[in-house]
Amino acid sequence: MVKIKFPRSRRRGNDSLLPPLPLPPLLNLPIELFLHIWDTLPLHSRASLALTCRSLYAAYGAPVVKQLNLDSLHSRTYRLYLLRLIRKDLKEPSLWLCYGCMKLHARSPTRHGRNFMGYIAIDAGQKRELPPGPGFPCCNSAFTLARDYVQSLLNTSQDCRPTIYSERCKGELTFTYNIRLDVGFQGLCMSTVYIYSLSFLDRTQRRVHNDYSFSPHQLADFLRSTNTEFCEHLWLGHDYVPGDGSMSANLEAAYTGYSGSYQSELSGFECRECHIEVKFRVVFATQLEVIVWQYFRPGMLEPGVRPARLNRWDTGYVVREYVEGNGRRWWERWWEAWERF
Amino acid sequence: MAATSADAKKVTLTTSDNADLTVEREVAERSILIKNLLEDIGDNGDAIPIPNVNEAVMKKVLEWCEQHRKDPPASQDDDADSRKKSTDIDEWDQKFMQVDQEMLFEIILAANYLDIKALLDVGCKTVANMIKGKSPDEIRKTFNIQNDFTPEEEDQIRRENEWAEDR
Repeated sequence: MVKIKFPRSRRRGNDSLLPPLPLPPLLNLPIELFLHIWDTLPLHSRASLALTCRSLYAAYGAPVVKQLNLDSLHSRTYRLYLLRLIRKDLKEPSLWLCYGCMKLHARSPTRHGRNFMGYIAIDAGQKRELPPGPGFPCCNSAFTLARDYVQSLLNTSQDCRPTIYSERCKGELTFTYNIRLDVGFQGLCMSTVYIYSLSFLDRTQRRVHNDYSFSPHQLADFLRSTNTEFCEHLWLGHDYVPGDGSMSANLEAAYTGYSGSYQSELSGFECRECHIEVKFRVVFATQLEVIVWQYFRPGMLEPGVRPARLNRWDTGYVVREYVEGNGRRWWERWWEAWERF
Repeated sequence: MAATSADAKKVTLTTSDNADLTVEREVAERSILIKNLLEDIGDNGDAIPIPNVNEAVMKKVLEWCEQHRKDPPASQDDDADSRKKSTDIDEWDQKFMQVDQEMLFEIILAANYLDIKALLDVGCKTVANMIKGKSPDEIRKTFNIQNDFTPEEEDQIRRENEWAEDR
């Protein structure tokens, strides 16, 4: 069992003899002005503010916590947004956020899928269905099984055989995802393809044009509503501030050069810390694919010991420097795709 | 202070540090407090005392009023929640609010005292944007708030909310 350690407060022992510190300007505001600011904040930011000190928590903590614990999609989503913020303070890499239980779990590197015809597959044929949840990933999903399997490979320095995972999630949004685990040019790598049907834009009460040509804003909004996390630093959600440099804030920029035509490939995002690249692709105007390519400890495997099964599929997704908006014209992208082919 | 005929449409404001600032009446009347005062006492040319605002802050407030002098006055409907929920800030206002924290809160207090709703909104939205997307620890660092929770209190909050669990 992993014991989760939280950072301790700076207050130790009996410090009542110390002179009281002057109140910071925010806490010194007249109550009506503080409430004016408070009313402008979304629920998760109110909770984050209430957790900063004892007086704020005593005054505003209880109603906020009560609202966060309500069993509604709105409350559950904001609870997840708050947990994302709290995780930043914990600075504990073994913790991951489960979007099903809405709790921070410790990683378990022991589980993996069953062997199937030389591949380790998780019910690839049966298409497991996960219960509804306000985001992804969640525990007991094929994704977490794959990630735990990667962890066990890294811990034991085992070689990886091609491994495929597949699952269908039937939650607030229905989507399918496929995972392929293998050894690429830069070491152990995992490719995850999330497939969303764009007809679900109807279900979420968003305006849809009859000709299925979605505006960049519509697609960006749809992606944010999926509330999907790729790593601690890259996630899709509505908890962003314009201009904060986050992935969710820059989604519209990723559509630079997007023409709305079939098989458009959009620009992507990269997390250099976690070695993850995320790309978006609209396929035949009815399907949106989110392609996530992640290397684990890149460079760990020397070229001489890499398996010789690298194929063209692998070579297309070598992590490269991301330039916002990409800045390429359609014919440049087309030429690059042609060369790759 | 008596006003000459050339600047009849100007008013003089005396700040808390006894500085006299002369501005156009239209600009000063962005403040409902000053507007009501002028209506009550009449435009007799006397300086209007503003005892709760110092010169530096008053200059900033008047700079904002000058920029927004042609804006339509805030209606009663503007007090609705919809106005508060939006945190979009005009580009000029964003630059205007790029001041140190002490000045930012002084502007908010002055806007509240002078009854300038639009400026108050901009100030509060700026502070809200500084809070948004930040963890409790980041908010503490930004606003210099002391974490005075005892370890026992922190444990209790964690237990009550079940944010993390061992697996």
